[in-house]
Amino acid sequence: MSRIEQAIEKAARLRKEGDVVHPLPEWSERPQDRDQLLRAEPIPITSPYLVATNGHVAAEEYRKLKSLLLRLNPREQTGKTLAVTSAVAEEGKSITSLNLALALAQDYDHTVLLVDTDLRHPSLHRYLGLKPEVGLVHCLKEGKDLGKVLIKTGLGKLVLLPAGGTVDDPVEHFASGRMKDLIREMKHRYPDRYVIFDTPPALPFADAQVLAAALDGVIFVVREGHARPGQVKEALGNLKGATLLGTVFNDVSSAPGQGAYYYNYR
Amino acid sequence: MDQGFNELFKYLQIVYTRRYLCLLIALTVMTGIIAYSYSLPRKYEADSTVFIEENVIKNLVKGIAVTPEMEDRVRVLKYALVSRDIISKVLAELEIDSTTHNDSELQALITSLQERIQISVKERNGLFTVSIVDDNPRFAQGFINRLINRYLEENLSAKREESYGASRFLHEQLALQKEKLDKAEDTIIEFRKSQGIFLSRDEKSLLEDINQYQKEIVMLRLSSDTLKARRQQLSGQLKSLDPTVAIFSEKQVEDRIATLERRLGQLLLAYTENYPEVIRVKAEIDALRQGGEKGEEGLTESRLTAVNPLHQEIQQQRLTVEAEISSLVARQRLLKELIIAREGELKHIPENRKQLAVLEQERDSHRKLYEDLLARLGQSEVSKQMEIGGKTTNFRVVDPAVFPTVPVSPDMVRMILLAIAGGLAAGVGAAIFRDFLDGSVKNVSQLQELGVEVLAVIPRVIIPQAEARRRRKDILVFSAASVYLVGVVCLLAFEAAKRIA
Repeated sequence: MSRIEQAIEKAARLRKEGDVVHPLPEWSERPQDRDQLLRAEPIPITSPYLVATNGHVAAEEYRKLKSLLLRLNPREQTGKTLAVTSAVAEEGKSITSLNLALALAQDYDHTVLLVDTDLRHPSLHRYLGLKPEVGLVHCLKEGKDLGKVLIKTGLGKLVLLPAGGTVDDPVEHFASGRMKDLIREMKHRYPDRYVIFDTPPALPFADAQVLAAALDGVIFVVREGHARPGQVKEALGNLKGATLLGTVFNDVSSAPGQGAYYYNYR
Repeated sequence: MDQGFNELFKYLQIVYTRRYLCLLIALTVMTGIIAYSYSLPRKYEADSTVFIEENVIKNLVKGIAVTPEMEDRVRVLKYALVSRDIISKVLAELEIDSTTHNDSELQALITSLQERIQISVKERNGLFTVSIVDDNPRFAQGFINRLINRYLEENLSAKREESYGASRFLHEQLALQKEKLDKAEDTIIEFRKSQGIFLSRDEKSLLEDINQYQKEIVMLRLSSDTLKARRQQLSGQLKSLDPTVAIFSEKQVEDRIATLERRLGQLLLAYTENYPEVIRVKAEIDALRQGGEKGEEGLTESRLTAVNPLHQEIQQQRLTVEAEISSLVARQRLLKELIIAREGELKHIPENRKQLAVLEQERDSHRKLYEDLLARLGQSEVSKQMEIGGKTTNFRVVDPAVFPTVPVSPDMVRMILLAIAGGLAAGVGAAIFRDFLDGSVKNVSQLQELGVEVLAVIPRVIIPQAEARRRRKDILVFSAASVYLVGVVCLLAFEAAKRIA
């Protein structure tokens, strides 16, 4: 915990400095660019875990989750930035983020920006079968224009901001003023946009904690048979200060006929 | 019901989820138990069945001859077979005793054998089985057979001796009792003699006698009183009578003289003058004549008197009465004496009787014992004759011990069954235990308990390729496990067949 606290302190310090060091870059995107951004050939979905768009029984659950979020975040409000996290690794954060994003992107009313903030172990691009060369890391480290790194998926109105690589000190980057500006930019650019941040697990790293504090809400993923209740409780305790919207109970073994199968999406 | 089904289903699901762990543990435990069983030293059991044959003659001589009951035989048999004596003899016969180094080793061997000899009896059938378990099948077989033979030999001779001994003993006792009985009889006779007549009478007859005597006394008194009254009457009568009566008056003197003269004449015809009667008659005549003359001179009348016969007769009667009275008195006195004597006897009777009763009781007990012994002697004689004729119960070895080829311990059939059951139980137990140890979140309610809202429950996504892979792996693993299990079952069948054979 002390490590996390140190990281938070460091992040707070950097944020102060960042205000000075990193000026807000010029946002080149215009409303007409948005339409252009959304106009793209849909990329083929190969991952069997991306069920939100097909007739899988899980798709219905994602749709329900989407409805709940829409109710929680009416259109008028600007609070549409969500962090998706979990207590420990491999609980299905990325899958949940992707499926939720896909479900939301199918709505005509919303555009969805899915941000891979798991700078330790980025994975969203792999599920979509992409190999991006640039991403969030470049925006943060090199001040690259956000508009240049977004990937058009053609899947509804879903746009992906890939991680673009890994860094050793994500917390420091997330706590920086640059990140703050990026979030603000992402959040306010289009009023109908939902921004979903896929984060690392909350218990071993402070990433999610730092990010969640800057976002409108947190969705906590718990996978059946993974984290213990104590871990979940502790992780939730770490997220104090953020708005916890609720949990998603993932990978639930159901009727006996379906068996209890694992899926490995790393 | 539903609850129970749910519980069962829950456990089945746990086992299925952790099926590899379950299989691994099950097969490991199974293999472990089987390997352990095979590593145990082999123990062989040899047994021999002996039949206690009861001859038909037993029923015929029931109550006449003494034959031991089956229960007694079996009870004795159990103790006798494991006796140190027999075992050490058998060991000597088998030359095992020489292999032991010292007494304590031999002792330990005997104790071990005693503990291992098992005797089971089917009482009603008269069959019993003697068995022993040993590492060495040859020793087990030899030991059991020798043990049985040794026992039978010793038992038969002992039985015969027993019968003879009983007969001999009874003879001795009989002579002793006879002596005692005779002595008791003699004592009684002596006592009777010493007590004489008393013992022939009892109190009742004595009392009757006394009563009788008293009655007689009363009767005697009555008679005596009657006689006394009669005597008084006779005395009165006697007083009123003259002792003499006048034979004639004066006028009769001449008649009398004439008569006397006639008489004198008659007498003189036969006798001389000196014949007393003649003298008396002459004197009387003279007297009469002189009397006549005196009368003429002094008395006016003269009379001749004689003894009064009536007086005489009454007097006679009185004397008779008096004699009777004195006789009665004497008789009374005698009766009184008798009464006193009887009363004396009456006092002594109880004591004497008691003494006699004691003597008689003693004699009776001796007699009874003597009679009993006599009867037993009769039975014993029959028994002896039966023993001689070999007609009592007999032991017959129905099934001698054969060389045991299949070990009884470890019971491989049981051990393999145990291994299968134990393996399955351990496997299932391990799966359930592993699940118990796994404290991860497994249902929605656990999340709700944490106080967070559950927005969605996403079911497991099944990937066909992964599923197929998993299936292939399952088939492979379960096939291997099945082959192994079939091997175990074959081993079980083999062991079972070996045992039956």
